[in-house]
Amino acid sequence: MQNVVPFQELQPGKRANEWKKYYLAALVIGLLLLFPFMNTSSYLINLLTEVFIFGIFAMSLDLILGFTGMASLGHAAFFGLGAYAAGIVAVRYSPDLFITLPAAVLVAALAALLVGLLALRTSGVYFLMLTLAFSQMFYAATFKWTWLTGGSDGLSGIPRPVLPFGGDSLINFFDSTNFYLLTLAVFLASYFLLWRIIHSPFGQVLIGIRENEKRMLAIGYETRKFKLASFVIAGAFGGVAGALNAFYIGYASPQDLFWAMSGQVLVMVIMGGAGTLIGPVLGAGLFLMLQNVVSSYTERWPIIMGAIFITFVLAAPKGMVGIYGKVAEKVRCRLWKH
Amino acid sequence: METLKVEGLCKNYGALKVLRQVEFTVRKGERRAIIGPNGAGKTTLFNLISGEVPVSQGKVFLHGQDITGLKPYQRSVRGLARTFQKNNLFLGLNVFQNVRLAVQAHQSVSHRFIAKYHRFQGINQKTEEILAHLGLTEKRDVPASDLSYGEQRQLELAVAVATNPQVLLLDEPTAGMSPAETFRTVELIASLPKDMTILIIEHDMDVVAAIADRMTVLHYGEVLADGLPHEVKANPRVMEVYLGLEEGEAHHAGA
Repeated sequence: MQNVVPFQELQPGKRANEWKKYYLAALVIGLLLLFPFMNTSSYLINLLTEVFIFGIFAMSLDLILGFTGMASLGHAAFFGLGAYAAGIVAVRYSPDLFITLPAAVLVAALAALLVGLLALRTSGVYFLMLTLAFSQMFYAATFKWTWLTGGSDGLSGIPRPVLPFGGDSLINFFDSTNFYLLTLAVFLASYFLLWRIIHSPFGQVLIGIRENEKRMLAIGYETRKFKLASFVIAGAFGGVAGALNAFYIGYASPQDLFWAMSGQVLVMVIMGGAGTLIGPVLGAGLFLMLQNVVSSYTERWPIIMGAIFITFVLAAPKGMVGIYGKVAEKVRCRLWKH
Repeated sequence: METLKVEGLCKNYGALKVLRQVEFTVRKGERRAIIGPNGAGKTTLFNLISGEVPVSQGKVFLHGQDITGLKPYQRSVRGLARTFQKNNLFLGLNVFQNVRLAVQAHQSVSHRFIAKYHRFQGINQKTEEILAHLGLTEKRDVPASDLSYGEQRQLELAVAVATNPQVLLLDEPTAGMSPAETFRTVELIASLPKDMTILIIEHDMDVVAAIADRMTVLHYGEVLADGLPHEVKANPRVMEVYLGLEEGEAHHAGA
């Protein structure tokens, strides 16, 4: 009991590794900031903008899927509700970014609270089915409430956001580079916040629930409360992604809430690597790039996407992050040899 | 002073009666062994006390308070902890993380969702102490899934102890351990604070003799005997069912 080694001293290697990570992150962020100014085509800028939007969406799903261990098939509900909330506020009231984005967060989080309170009475497949059912209810509502949502036509004419100061003359988000930088900023803020959440005492509880909920209950955690909090946070970030998407394409449609959208984001998370933060972002990137490339060759691109997904699940169940880990392991072995 | 009391505890699975009218009272600091042949209902008894399984009838009292209707986490908050017969760990996490989750459970910090967890030095310190106490310091960074079976058993005990319980239920803590590991575990259990009340299910009679100051014998879901070890051992009915002796032989052996 006497010779307790302090926490840090046992892991000098880990500390050094962490610094390496920070340098790498700074480098990547710097490149992303400079990206639109390197004579880049607007096609690529728009593609990357989309990757950030769906990266946020996929990370938010991963908080519940990969970190809390709950599979949801209704996550698009929060994406779509965020899109409609931001869109309706922007069209009817004000396109101010600091009003539309909080509105999207609020609506998505409240919806997640409602769904979570009921769906979290169950777990496993039943939870999956309930999330699916709730998201389809929201989907149906967007169809029927034509006066609010525009019904099956969707809500069109959503303007790009403006800042409360300076207006369009200072930063015009209709410009694709400026909008790229805005989504990058929101993406980085989301990534940072989620990273902190995962590395907080609260986040460690979520990971404990993923690993063994029964034992968490036995050692004194009211797991349902934590699962609900995780679900609401994920819903809120889903709303952020939805709002950005509505600004980006100027349009919100019932398809944003449809279960196919929930399936798509699930595919992104799994292809990238669930249980990591960077994985879902890479997954979103790969998915969108493949979709762009393959769909330019053939109309039957969903078949090819499906085949790629199946290959991933069979050959690399831990996704792109898992592949990287395996390759890095082999390279390190080679390096040790010589 | 009574710490734990069970009153008229019954558990039925359909027509199958697993426990019938089980009653006993455990004083503070007592070390009580629950023994009995396989299928006697020992683990079921623990499941009812810890709340994993609802009772069919009867009551469980902790510190004089009726806890029969409480969920497992609520009982944990009130000072009850248990180990499981089958290792029930956070297999994807390392030894340190396993124990830290248990330490954190009773330190009202789990709502902190932005602060970095490794900044909470009090929790880290407590975790290191428990690892040192249970001889797991060397294994602190090893994933629980990579431990040997005996080490996993030790971690199982560490996770329960880390919640700092007043009442600890141990379900066959030495099952499957090597003799050396068993010896260490017995020492460990003996070194736990004297005011910690411990109930232990155990088949190894040497372990029971080393730890227990009272014994309860279960047989087909009923309490067969309850008392000091030498009283229970001399009880003719215990000899009859537990040692498989006939009535006459039992009397002979007891004499």
